[in-house]
Amino acid sequence: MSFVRPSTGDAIKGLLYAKGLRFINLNSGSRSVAAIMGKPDYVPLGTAQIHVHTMTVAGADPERFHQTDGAYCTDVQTSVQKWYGFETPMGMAPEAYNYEIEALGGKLVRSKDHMNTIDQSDPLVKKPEDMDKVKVPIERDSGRVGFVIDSILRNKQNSGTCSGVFCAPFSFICGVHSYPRVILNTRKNPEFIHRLLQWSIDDVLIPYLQLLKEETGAKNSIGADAWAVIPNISKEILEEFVFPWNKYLVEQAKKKGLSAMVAISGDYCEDNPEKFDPDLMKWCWSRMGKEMMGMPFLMMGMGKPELWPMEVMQEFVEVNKAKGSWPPVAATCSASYIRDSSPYEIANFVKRVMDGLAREGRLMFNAIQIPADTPPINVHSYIEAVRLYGKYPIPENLDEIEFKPPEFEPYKEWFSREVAEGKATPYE
Amino acid sequence: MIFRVLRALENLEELKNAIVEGEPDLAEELAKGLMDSGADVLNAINNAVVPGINQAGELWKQNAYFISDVVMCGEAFKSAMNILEKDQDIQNREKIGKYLICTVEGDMHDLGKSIVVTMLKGAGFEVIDLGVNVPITTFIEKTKEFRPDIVGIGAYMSTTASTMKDYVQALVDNGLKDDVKVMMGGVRTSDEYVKKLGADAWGRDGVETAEKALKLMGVQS
Repeated sequence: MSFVRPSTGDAIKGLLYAKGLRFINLNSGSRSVAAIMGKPDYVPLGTAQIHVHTMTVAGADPERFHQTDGAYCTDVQTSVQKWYGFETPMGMAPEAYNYEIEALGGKLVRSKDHMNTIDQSDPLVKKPEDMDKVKVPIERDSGRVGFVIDSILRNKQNSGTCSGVFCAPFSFICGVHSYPRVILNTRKNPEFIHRLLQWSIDDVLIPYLQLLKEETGAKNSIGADAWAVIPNISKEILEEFVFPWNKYLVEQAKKKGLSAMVAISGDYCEDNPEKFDPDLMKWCWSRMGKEMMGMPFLMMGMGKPELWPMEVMQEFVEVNKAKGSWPPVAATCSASYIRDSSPYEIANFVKRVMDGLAREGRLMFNAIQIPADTPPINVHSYIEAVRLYGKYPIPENLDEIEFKPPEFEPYKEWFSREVAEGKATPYE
Repeated sequence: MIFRVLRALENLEELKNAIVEGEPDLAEELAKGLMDSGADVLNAINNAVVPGINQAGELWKQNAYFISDVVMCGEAFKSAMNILEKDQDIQNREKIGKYLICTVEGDMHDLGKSIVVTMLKGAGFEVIDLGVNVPITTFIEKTKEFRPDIVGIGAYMSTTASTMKDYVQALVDNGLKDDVKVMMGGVRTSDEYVKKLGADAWGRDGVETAEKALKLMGVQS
């Protein structure tokens, strides 16, 4: 899902549009709300975690992009998204799972050319007593907190959106204690895992969000939780160690005047078609949606949605709609599909989803986790197909609409022209 | 006599269950008990430890187990094997083949690889685990040193995944490629993708990697 959280004004506009006030002009924020509540003018298209791809397309300096210059990192992402034609070009500090851990003194493996990785073999908290030795709260000059702040401020300047990203509690403890240790202790020492979660929220994450708010004005933030997905963890772990603590975090944030939301906990990420389990997938959509937004939510996240049977998705929508709880749908294809498929295959995927799920509204498209080496024509084709097939009212027979892979100006030429015309600032 | 046989069978069943249920401490304790009682260690591996981890793999395939469960079974497997492998006969036993595995340079992801290592050991391979963040020079040096039948290369980020082709090219440049099969795996990979990078086979997960590795060795799993 897109990291853009709409303003209150956009939320009201979107809601009114969805209720039938079609004279309202929608922007990307209000269009997303209209899409969640009903039918917008066309199916919105958001992005998330496509930073390494933008870095590759722009030929950006990886070290500066990842390590040293938050404003540069944001500018590169924003510029490439603008070139592609995404609705809300923007860029967030990309290492959502690393900054807090690093700021506390956690060991990261740095790489000149790639994103950093937390060293899971040497975590900050190996034993329960290590927790008390960690110096909290996170301060402005710890690790790359300055990088994050610069990125948020530049994003505010570029897009008008001021929001933060943080590591959700369960993923945070997988970083600070390591995933295998967390799993082991959910069985051997569950009391410690609960204590670690409470500490992570009270002493680390809430003060960190307060710091970001003080430095940037960001009241809204989204927590990333890729460790807390199926099949990384079981339903039982989700119910005992993930959902209750996400709720606690949201409540604590609210008490401090912050609006925090945890995304993707419970996402269905199984990518083996032989292991596809429709009942488990529907359970994930129901539980994740309830926790995130209080209603079922059909989310195509980090799994392989291009392999999911359309009838399963349609049934989920219809059954819940009949119960009076009509679920929104966030659609995407997988990272490997957008990288490895032809433009026509990509367009056919978009067409199939539009045909099966867009007609009555409540559909958003996203481009999620586009790999670094994805051919740009594939991303252009994806966007073109969303525009082509996603205009309301959706035509009866989408096969009658011919898709052609779009022609496009190479990024570097486009960017030079934008700079020459005063529409972009050189970030070199 | 009959009671002793029954008790021995019961011990093996308990050890197998400790692995299937992902109980590392219990698996270690039971393995120690078997060693101390002078039990046939090879029999314990073949009839308790390996069937235990294989059953965990089956439960994973059937969706009864999540990765978190498989991790725990892997820990139990390792606990038992750490004890049982001290037996001299076990150290000398014949293996199906030699499998050298690593995560590429710039990539510290270890979880998927450690599950793969467990499943390969369960399938009877001698596994040389070079760890994570392994440069091409080390990979080539160790391939020359150990002469594996299969090398497994893993990458878990899209920026590092594409570097796996450089490892294959280094095998070619050093005249090693004809003597070794290459498998690749990682979150952003697919069968089609790794074939383009020069792999002979793709390992989607630990269970599938072990099955395909056996196939590459000409063994039916």
